[in-house]
Amino acid sequence: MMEQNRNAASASLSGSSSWSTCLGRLRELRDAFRRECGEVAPGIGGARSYAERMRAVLVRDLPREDLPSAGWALIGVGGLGRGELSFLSDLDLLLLYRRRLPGTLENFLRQLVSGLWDSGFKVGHVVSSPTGLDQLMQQDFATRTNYLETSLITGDIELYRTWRAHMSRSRGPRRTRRFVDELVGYRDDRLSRFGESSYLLEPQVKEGPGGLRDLHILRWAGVVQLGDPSLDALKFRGFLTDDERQWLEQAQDFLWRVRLQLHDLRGRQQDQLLLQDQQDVAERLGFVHSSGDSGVEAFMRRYYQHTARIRRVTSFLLERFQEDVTPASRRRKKRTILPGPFLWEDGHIRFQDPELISSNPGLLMELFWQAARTGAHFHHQTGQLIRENLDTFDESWRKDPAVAERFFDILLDPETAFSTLKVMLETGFLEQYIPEFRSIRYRMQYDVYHTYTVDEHLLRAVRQMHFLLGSERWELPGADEDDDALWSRLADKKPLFLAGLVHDVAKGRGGGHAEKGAELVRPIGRRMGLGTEENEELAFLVREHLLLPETALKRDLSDEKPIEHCAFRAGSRERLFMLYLLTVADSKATGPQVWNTWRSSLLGELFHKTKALLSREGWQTRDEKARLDLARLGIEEALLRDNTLSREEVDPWLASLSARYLLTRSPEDVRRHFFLERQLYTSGKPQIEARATSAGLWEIILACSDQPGLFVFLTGVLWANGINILSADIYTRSYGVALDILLVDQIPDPLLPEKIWDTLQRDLTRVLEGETSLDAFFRHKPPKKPVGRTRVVPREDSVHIDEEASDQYSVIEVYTWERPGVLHVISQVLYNFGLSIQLAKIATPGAQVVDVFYVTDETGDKIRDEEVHERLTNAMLSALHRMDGQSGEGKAGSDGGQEQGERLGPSSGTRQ
Amino acid sequence: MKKIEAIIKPFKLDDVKEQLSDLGLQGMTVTELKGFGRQKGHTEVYRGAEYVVDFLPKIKIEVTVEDDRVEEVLESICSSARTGKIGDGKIFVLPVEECVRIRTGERGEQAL
Repeated sequence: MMEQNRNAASASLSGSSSWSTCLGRLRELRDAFRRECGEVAPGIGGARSYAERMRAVLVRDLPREDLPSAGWALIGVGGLGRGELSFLSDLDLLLLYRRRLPGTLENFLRQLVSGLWDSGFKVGHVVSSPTGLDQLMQQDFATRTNYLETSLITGDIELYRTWRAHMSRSRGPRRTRRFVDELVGYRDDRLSRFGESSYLLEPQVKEGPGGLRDLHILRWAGVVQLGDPSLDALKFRGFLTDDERQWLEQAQDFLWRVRLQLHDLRGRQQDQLLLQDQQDVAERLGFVHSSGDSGVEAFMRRYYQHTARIRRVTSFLLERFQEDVTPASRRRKKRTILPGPFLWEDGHIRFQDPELISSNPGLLMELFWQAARTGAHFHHQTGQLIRENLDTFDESWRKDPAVAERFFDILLDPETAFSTLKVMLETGFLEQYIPEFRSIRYRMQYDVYHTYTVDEHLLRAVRQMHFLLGSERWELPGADEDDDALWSRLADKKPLFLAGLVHDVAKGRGGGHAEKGAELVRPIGRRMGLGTEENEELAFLVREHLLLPETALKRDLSDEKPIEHCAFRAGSRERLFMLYLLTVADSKATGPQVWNTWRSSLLGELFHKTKALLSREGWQTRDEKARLDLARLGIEEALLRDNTLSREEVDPWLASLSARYLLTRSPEDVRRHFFLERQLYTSGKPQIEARATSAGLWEIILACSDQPGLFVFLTGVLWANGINILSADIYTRSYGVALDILLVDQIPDPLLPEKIWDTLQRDLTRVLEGETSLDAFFRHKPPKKPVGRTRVVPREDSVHIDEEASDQYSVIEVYTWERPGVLHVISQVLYNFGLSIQLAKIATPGAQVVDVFYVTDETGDKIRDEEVHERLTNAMLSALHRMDGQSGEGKAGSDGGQEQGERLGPSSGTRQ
Repeated sequence: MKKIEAIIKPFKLDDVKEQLSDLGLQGMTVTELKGFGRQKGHTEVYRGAEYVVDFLPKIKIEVTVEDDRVEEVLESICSSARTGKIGDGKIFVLPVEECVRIRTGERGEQAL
């Protein structure tokens, strides 16, 4: 760097400055800075010195021999004016002229702008007279901010000074007030735009909440208010504390490091920190894998910490500026003195006598309680006071019963719990009161479906619990009046809500956060004065908070065994209801992708069935024979209902049906299937019937003659038609007919579903009747690729085979990450092993796919053989692995050939 | 390099343009045109006589980008031009062999 400066300096001394040397130097500077970013990770210092050097070259080397000596000025604005640039930043220039733009100047400008373009710089330039500029700034707020910080490059210094003086004179108190108001509005707009959930995982470094733009806003406010943009000025005038200034500086440096690395990595001005880049940026900034934290998680955690601080300080300061510029006459102060040493002033709460806190730190909790009770906002100074006094709130206060009482009042208040807890979190009080919270503060999970950091998620879970018990009662599928009554009888709601707040407190301590969490929360409960029984309840809820979703998504709910398992673990209806509430709130608070109709219907079914089992006396399972007879009776009635069918037609058919089918399908379903099978006989072609079940979900019933590898064909054809399978029930009749019941979502054109079913039927017929091989079919109709960037975080694949979960079937769980056609590849492997699938459940909550298959081998029995387990696992993993090598497109269907060695026998794919 | 041609509903132009500039695209070409697709225009009845409106007004946007930017451009056009109703339009992606900036004679991606 130094050397280049010297070179540049010596060249300019020689006097010959032409366009090509000047532009050449700018290019050199830029390329050198970019190289520097590739080698080390410079932060704000690098950005500042680069901007300074760029400006210096422009000042010194711009050829201006023929230009008039006065009446114009070339001024750096935007990043150049502020003195912070990335090597990819736009160069924002303003050419100010007094009366008329002379031809020589026009020529100069043309040379400058096109020269910069051709050197690969982006230029934003405005040519205007001061009056023209005034008009421009009146119309557009962004323009006004752009000219707050400027630096003269060349031209008439008098003109420049006059213009600056005019600018600051024009900021009378009234205009300043308007400016600050507009600044707040501008910021709110930006926060709502870049604070959406899609930006939470992939934040915008510049425009996002707490991003670099917030720091610019502080600088602009500084210029307008104090005539000085620097943080030092803000500190000197008492707007910032020492700590806050230091935070902002560290955060600014960090964000610049991130931004410059991102620019270097992508080679373009991309300021959004995309999932795919987070890992690389983390590595470049030296975040390495440590215990419990992967490098990228530690990095993002730091990112959220810094941006949260910037955001908070900026909000507080803007609020204070707004207060300062409001004339005293307009500040009608409504003051009320609240019990305790608090003051309620214009909707804000503050300490009347802050000195008292150190002698009685319990006042901190009292303050939050009063704020929640009165619905008051926190005054910005109150936030600072809380922060300064945190240390006084020690272990003895954590155990104080009166403090705990206030805390539970806050936690259990449906209206204000979330907002009050949020301020507690932001001021650092929550982690002072519950130190276990410290390790999950700003912690993020590097995957697609945890939209919020863990601390934020926990607060949202509490809010969801309040919603579910209040206005969103209907969001609890499967719950009825009995549960309402049960809820109102429930005397003690403390363990439940505390569990909501702390259920993920052991995240980031290695796997098994539910079990570890249960141990971690006991001391919390004890400190807050929960009784032994209450504390057990709390530990139970935390320990079991994954029981219901895991069971619902991965087990066959028509099987009694998983239901019994849940009933046994829950033990009572009260506990089951609380667990259910926690589960639904947890899912809804995770992210928009997690709570969907599919998940909600599964959880509802599980809850309903477990509840029924727990309500039954002694809850042993009913005799299967009795259940079968009952089911047959109902079905017979449905079939004979309108006298179109005779008993002679129906009875032999009924007798041939499997027990699993009879027990899992409703009589109405069976009736529908009967007629579908009839159509199959008369037409001889595969039959499809589809209907919408609930919002966005469709049930497709397929009846066709059974054949080896049917499910592989089915998944392939559906994949090619862009239909996503959620679950599949496969019933194979003794007379060689297969009945597949699929639940699907995301059909490509919900406006014209009939068209899709027609195409599907045609495609299936062609493939099933051997008119075309699956390979040829894929060539003709390449499987759909989702439009756009796929937001995935590749995960290690794994396979888990469970022989205990069901009495009749081996349960195979395949964990992998979502990509198109993955189900097709998996079913191909199962087919190659001669396994017949009875039930498949596919859960795709964002990043991870959990595909669960209930299978039997060719004898109709469980697999049991450990050696087969191992071979199957290996074959599955390598098939998934191969898929990545081929980008998963079109090729998967031909995998069979490579699997020859794994086949058990040529006809082994036949299903019984 | 790929050229992306999107046929969209006219009133969606502003949304699409805004989204594309957010991606940092430097330029685009916009044409007003008429056409029909699967919906085949629509039939209207005027004083008892049926007549067919075959051609519907549409906007065509053309942008040319580096290969690795195609997906994000597709995504942003889809999300901003979508109404979920018939006639939302289509996007075509075409390979581009060469690009020359006339003033400078620059070629290839740097001329984009």
